[in-house]
Amino acid sequence: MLFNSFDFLFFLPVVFALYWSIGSGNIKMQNLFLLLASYVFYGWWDYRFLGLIILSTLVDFFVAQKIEKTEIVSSKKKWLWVSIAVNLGALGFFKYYNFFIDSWVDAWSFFGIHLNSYTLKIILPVGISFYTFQTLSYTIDVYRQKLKPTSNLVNFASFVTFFPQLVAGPIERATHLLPQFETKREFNYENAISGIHLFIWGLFKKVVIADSCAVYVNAIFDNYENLSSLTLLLGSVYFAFQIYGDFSGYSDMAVGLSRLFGFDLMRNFKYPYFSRDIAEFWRRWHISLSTWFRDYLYIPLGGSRGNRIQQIRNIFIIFLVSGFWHGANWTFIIWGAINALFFLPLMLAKRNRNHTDDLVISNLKTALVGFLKMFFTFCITCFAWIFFRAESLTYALAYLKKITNFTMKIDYLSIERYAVELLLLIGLFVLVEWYARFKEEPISGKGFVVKVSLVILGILVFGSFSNPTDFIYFQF
Amino acid sequence: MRKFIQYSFLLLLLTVIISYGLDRLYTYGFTTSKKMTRFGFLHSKHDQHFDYVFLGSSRVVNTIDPQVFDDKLKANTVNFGIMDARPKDIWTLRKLLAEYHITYDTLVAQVDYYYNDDKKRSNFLYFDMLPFLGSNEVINTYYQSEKDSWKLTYLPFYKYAANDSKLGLHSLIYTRIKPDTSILESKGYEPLYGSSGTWQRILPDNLAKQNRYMAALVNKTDNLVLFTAPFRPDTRNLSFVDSLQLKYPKLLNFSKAIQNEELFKNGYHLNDKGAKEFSQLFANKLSKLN
Repeated sequence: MLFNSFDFLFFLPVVFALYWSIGSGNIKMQNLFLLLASYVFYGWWDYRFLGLIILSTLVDFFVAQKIEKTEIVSSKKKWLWVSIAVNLGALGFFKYYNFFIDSWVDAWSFFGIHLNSYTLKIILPVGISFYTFQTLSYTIDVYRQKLKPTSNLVNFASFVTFFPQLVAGPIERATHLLPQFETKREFNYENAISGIHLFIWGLFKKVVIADSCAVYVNAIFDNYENLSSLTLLLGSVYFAFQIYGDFSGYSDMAVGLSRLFGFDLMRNFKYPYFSRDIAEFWRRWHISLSTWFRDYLYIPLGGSRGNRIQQIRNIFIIFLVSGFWHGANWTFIIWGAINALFFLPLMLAKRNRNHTDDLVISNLKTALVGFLKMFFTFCITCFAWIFFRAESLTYALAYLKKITNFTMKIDYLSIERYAVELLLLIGLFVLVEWYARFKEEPISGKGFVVKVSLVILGILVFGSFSNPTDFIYFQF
Repeated sequence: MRKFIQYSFLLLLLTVIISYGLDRLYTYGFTTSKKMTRFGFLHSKHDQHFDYVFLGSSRVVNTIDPQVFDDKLKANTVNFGIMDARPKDIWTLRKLLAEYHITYDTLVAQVDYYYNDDKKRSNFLYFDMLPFLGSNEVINTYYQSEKDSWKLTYLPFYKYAANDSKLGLHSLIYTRIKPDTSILESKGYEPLYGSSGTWQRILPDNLAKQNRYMAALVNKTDNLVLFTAPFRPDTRNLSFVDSLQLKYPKLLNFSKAIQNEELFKNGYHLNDKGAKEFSQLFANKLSKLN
């Protein structure tokens, strides 16, 4: 079920009304109800994969119990490995099996040895990368004794499958979300209103920005051979906004929805295109994944400690793994490597934490320097997005080569809506976000009724409803 | 909670009011547009009388030049063909003629391979007519078989939002600022040029037992002439038209009337030269019938 679907329009009010009518005193029933609602929500796509979530839930629930009960460190470790093997095994099989087989065959064929390829027609279960990472955080934190395992299976299952963030995050830590399932939740008016505003703003980003850009991104990337350099550059800019609108829109909707049910999820995006360097970008983009890798991979590897070689290795590992997490394709790995290359000079020069605050314009010089840095960061991000969007490495390189032809006319794209006009819409969107950059979303605050009316008007008038596209991150 | 429910209702109300306002605005914009769609062309001819009214698909739009008929037969002819029309569309157009009091001496309707299509409909008529949904029963009935029929009918602005690539803000602005009334001058004829198309037509192997829309058209229309427009000689399964002829013995079968491939734009559409030649041929035939 998509957040921007008619089905969800009926699902949400029913679930909301029943959930609060149970009463905040009855946490057990509320959690059980949320669990059932989440299963319905997920099963709407493909009920067959519910089994996989249930398996992951059961394994991690019982493994955590075992880790807690045993005193022997090697046993604890063994149980942790069971959890890692089951979760990453399922992820590996469903997401990466064909990639590994193909790469293996390709590698041998490079030496002139031709092997048979035994790829399978595997359907990727929606959200598998998200919920496996979420449950892994639970067993790892129990192993590290940061968290006491829960003895309530319903609470744990509700934490794993919580429908607002089940299929595309934010990837919540058990230390943050699980205790919320174990404490009484009171309805809070201010929270619920901010949740609704966040949901509406997320919907705007999805149906107006992301889906409108998607039409042109598809047209440009599918026909790049026949288009001019300027159009191809436009294609990468449109994709930058498509993926931002799509993913941050989903995250906003997820965070907003969870507030309606009395939960607090972590913020996943913080206006990433206003970053002044790539390090700041990664502190603002997909924060839940970046911090997950930081805490469970980068720091255990040594982080920024150790000698230069180790530091460089750690940076490359985290970015390559992050790229690979996105999908079984070399394009994602190269995308990760490019980001590592962008990040590395900052880290080696110890300038990767230069911009930890928001840009405050105090005078013309700071404004100019700040904007130039933002523009540069946006440009290099767009460059990397080309690899992310391309179907293969050859495709990405051909796209880049075509850009270097420097043909500057904007081609007419025979799509019925609007082409260059979309840039005006994006410009307006950037302006709105710029003025709201110190807040979570631009609706709340003074005159919110007028602002919410304008956003609803914008969704209806500029929304792209006839070409609905799935959320990009569903495929990850 | 009460305060929250009040605010939610306010949002819902705002959405409904905005949707309703937009629906009215778009409906006004599209229905009074100066950019004439093919349905708009028919709509503009209410309370008029014609000697010959042509109905059909693109094989009428691009093939029947009313001026040739007017000159040859000293008549008043109009081409109300709709791109990609199917029997459902033809029957709807026929009912709309009555609805808009458009009268005629002879109704000439195309019938050919689309006889077998009992369920499909033209996307062109679908989009052209959508802003007029709710204006009469014929149009309402047309949309009743759509999967989202109730949403189209009852949810304000849904019909524009769900079809925003054709009926969105961009189209609305362009229909208002770029008037196009060329269809009025040509009386519905839209010529094709060149003969480069290689698109070969393969007609169905068998004729469907019945088409409910064609049956309604034949049973409920006085002075109806059915015809089949020419196909390029390389068309396969042309015997399909013979089966049609058996079903409708009075069918004017022109399927093999034009043999020169240079007169075809593609396998089943004549180019401008071919259309004019065929219109002459057809006008001669009609003059003999009279």
